[in-house]
Amino acid sequence: MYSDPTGHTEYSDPSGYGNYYSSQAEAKTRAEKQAQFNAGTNLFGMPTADYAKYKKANQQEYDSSHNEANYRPSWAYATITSVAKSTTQGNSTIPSAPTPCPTPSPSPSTYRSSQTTGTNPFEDFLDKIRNIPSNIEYSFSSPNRFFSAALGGGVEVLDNLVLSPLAFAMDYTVFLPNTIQNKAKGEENCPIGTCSSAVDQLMDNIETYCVNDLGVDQRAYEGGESNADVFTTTVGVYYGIKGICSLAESAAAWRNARGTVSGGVKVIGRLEDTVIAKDWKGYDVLDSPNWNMDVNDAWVNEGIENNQTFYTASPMTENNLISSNPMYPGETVYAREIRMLKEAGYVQEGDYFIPPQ
Amino acid sequence: MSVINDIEKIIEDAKDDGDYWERNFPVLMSKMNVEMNKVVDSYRVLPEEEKKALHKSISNHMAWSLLAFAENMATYSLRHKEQKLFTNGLSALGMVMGILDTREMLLIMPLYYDVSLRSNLSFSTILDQRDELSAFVKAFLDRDEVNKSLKCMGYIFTKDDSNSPIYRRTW
Repeated sequence: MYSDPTGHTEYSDPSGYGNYYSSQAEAKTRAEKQAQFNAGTNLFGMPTADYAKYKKANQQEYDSSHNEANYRPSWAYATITSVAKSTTQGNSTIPSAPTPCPTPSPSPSTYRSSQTTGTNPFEDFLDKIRNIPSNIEYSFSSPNRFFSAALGGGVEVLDNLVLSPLAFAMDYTVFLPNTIQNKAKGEENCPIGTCSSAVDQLMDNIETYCVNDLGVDQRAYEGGESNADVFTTTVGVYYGIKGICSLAESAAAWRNARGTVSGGVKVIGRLEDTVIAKDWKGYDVLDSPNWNMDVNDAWVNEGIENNQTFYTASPMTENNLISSNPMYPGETVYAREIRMLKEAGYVQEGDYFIPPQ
Repeated sequence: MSVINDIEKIIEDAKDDGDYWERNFPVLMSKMNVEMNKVVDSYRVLPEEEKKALHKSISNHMAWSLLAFAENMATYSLRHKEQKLFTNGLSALGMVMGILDTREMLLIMPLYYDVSLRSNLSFSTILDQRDELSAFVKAFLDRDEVNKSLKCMGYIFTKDDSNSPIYRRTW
């Protein structure tokens, strides 16, 4: 059990599982994820096209669950990189599980353990938060107690968002809700790690549907609320459980707020891939009928000079970065953009390039 | 799919005889470029449906070879004042549409525009096709002069060791 500065208490995963999941690097390739997204079903197999109908039918319940009074007690687990399951277990108070819950049966293939440091995970977590560059914003939809407490004075509240320096300095971050339920299977709300089918299903879907960036996995956003909103970033996996908070929604808000706060995120990549961001508020796509190399260079340099963040809309694969034909040698335009950023001291964080401090 | 097979074979043969790594522009076109012209010739006369089906089989690696061919044909069409080379080079660009970043194709376009200014070679054959490539070419030709220039895409027009005209990158 760990208490934050406000006295709010957090618990480690009672099962010893579920806190540790792979980052994007271990997840499936972007192309596969995109293909799965295009296939058009949500986390729980619901066709994306049916979601609007579903949401309308469940609006009352949806509204109720988003009422602060109905919130479950915040986030129960916060586990970060280099925290061993055994350490977490050793310092934890395990909450009693509601009944009836199935016997835990986490699949080793869907849970991944991390390396140990032997430190207090919550203190470690707070330390990482304190040391995160101040130019990075992050948000959660409702000012939930765990994060607002953990972030302390660095928090900015923008409407219903909490913006704060956070998260991207961590290699591996998992935020788990304290309870989860699989309504489709008629299960109770159970502590994560004990309610196996729901957790297993979530984990299976994380493997399948993790997203490419901190933007919303549309599948989760549009259809995941029946039980949970789930999305992952290169720094972690986030679960927003209905009735606690909707992280998928917050990610959309985060995207907008981030762009607004930092003066816009420039989108680089193949012309065909950057089109997707044209309608994203706060994101800047170079969409010129007179595109040329000079214009492109000037546009990238403008972002560098303004310390703007860059978003990579195309995967940084060999095919996209270098010509494979020696008669037409050298870097692609996309590779040139990335090189300019690196030469300017930018650091890659997942699908983003963050300006130097 | 003989076009695809032919391209693959041309690339493999070029690797064997060294053409594949040749960055210079000899007075006589390399065997690879000659053979590639024949393949693009046969591609151009295919029905639209077959072109579309074939397009799906063009690999990234083939696309880069076609782009290299397109870059080369700008220079050779100017040297030989030959419309077929000019049209085939542009057709090769059409073959890589959607496979490579459109910006990579745009980089080549000023070469062809410059050729058209320095010769009587024209875009008309391509524009008459009324397909995706013709729309792409037309959009480029609609630009103002500055944005069609060699300079804006990082190319210069110069002469090689044999005093033959050549387009070279500055990047």
